[in-house]
Amino acid sequence: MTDEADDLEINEDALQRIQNGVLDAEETQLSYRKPHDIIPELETIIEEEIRPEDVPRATEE
Amino acid sequence: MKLDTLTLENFRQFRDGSIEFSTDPDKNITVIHGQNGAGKTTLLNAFLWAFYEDLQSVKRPDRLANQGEMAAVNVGESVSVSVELTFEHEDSYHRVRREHAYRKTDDDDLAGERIESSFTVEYEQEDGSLTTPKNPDAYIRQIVPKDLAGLFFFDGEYISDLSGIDNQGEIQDAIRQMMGLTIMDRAIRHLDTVEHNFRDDLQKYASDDLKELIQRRNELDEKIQSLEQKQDDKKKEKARLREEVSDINRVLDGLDETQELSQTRSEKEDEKKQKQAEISEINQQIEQEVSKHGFLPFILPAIRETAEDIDELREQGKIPSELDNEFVEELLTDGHCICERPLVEDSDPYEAVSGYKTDVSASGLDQAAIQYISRLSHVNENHDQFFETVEGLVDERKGIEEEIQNLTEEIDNLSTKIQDLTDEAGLTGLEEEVQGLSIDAQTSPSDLESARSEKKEQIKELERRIGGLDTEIDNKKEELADLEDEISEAREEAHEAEVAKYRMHAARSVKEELESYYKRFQDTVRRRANNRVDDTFSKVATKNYEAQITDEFKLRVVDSEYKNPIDVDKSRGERQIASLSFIGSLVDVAREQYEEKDDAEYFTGGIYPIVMDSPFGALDSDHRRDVSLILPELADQVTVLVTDTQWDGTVEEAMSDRIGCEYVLEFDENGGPDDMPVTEIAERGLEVTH
Repeated sequence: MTDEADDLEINEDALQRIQNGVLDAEETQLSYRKPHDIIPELETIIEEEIRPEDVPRATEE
Repeated sequence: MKLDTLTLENFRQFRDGSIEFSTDPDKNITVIHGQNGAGKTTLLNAFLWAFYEDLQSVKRPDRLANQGEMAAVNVGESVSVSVELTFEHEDSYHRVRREHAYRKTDDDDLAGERIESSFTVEYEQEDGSLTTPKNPDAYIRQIVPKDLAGLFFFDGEYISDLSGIDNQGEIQDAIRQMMGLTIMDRAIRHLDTVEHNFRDDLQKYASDDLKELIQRRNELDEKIQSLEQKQDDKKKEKARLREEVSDINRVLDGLDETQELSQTRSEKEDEKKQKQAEISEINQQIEQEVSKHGFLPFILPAIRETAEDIDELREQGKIPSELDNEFVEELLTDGHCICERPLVEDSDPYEAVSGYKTDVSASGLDQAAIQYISRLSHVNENHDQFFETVEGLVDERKGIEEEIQNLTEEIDNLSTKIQDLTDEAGLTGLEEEVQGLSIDAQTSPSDLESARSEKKEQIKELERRIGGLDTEIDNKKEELADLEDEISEAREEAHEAEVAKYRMHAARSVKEELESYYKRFQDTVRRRANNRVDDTFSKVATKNYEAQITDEFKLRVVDSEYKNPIDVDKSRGERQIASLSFIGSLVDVAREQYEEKDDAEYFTGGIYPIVMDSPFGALDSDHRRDVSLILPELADQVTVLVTDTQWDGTVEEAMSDRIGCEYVLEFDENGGPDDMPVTEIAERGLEVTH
């Protein structure tokens, strides 16, 4: 299986929501005096927009 | 942010005092005069302390409280130190107050021990009421990020270093933060990590297993088909041989010499088949019996032991032995005693059992014990019955097997007799019939019988092979089912990998979009700042120099006479002017961004004041005039702290029209309590002469 992902089609609205969610999270993070690990938060934002049922199943036969 | 007032209480040499900043856009300069040591730098530090509790540039930060007050109070008493700032931010009144209390610990203690501290921020809401943010520190840092404070509250003597190599990184960070680029910068960096994490997931789930498994499954499918085909061929061959045997039988049945023997043999063979079918049926019955009651021989010892234990308890009187009325009623209703004797109404057994009924109720435990023992006796009976049944079936099978054995011998004898017939007994009269069959027309009955035996053997061999193929096919099908499970699992993992790939792609797409946006916006900011710097610088620069902001947001001054501008060795004056122009350009760009607010939600910019200590540093007269020309243009609100030497006639003349408020710091070395130094703040023209 290749990790080349250039040919994948992802809904533009979903990408826009991810972008807004990420920037909001970063802005909130900046207001904290003791920043937390933001990576899991960003991963969750993406996971909520790209759910397993949204991804087509590969046909390999 | 637009500054309104600054109020000090016991802060260093200031016992009390306040400054009102000019908010008039046409007279946007507030000038604070003070000789060296009067407290100009302390005033500058008051901003940083109030906002961030920052005392880094303060000498003896432990002596924050006014020494005169500390000297005046008794040991154990405390002195309150505070700085209060009021300002307008986004059309809303704000008040920031930081306060510490220091307790005097002994007679010589002028620093005191800090016993209390507080930080209060409140702002006016739309309805006019005041409110306090949940996190005052974070709130203030959002309005004026600490990293940017050095750009707005600074010592002019060091401002020329702004174009120095060492400070460029700090300046770049400040610019990024000021423009909101920090959020984007961080998002890009973090999305890169997120993309890598999803790539790790992809590699964890992705493998060539599925492909290999599917390949194996296809091969196994083909193998099963091939075996089934082979088995089918064998079955056809068997059918063909059976047909040939049947043909031979028909010929043998038609010959006078063999007719009786052949027909008898056929009957015996039919009988043998019947018996074999009976054996199959008996085997099935045994199998059913074992699966239903086969456990009994294994559990009976444990059951017997338990029954004995309970019985022993009953004998010892540990379990009451009276029979439960309910139990007796059940036996009478069922019509069977625990000994399996029928209980018919009015019969003796019925009356006997009925007589066990007592007036005393047995305990729950007694009842349970009785029921248990009753059931145990049933189990015992079932166990015996199981053995009887199985033994009976085995005996029956044995008898049938003997019958089959006898039939086989009889069939063999009949076959031998047919075989032993002489060749003279030809196939006369049957030639035509034989010709239509798959046997030689010239063959004698003996030969026919040999051929029959041979074919029978072949049929047996084929049956053995068909059986073998059956087993092999079953095994392969079992293997196929396992493989299908593995494929299903691998397919799920492949989907997980596919999902990770999509998420990785999403992270990368958003990151690339932000990078592109970041670059475009950074270019816009740089272009605006560049134009502003050059504009400001060219107004006052005495030589043919240009100030530029590079792609990396570095400030440089170049000689514009050359077609390819080259860095020039800047004089202190040029450096100072360039640095101030630079700050002014950033304030300007931030303000433009704030006012437009349509470029992006996250690039908010802002309105910032500038507070400068000694903006003219040690500049010569010409450069002081140049700087005084650009100062009012640097920001909406500019506060300068100057000595009289710096504030010479040229400067005063250049700035007089723009001054909104003017103060003097009056320093008295022995004017405070206990002859300690003190500085008072007075409006210009109202100062007291000491």
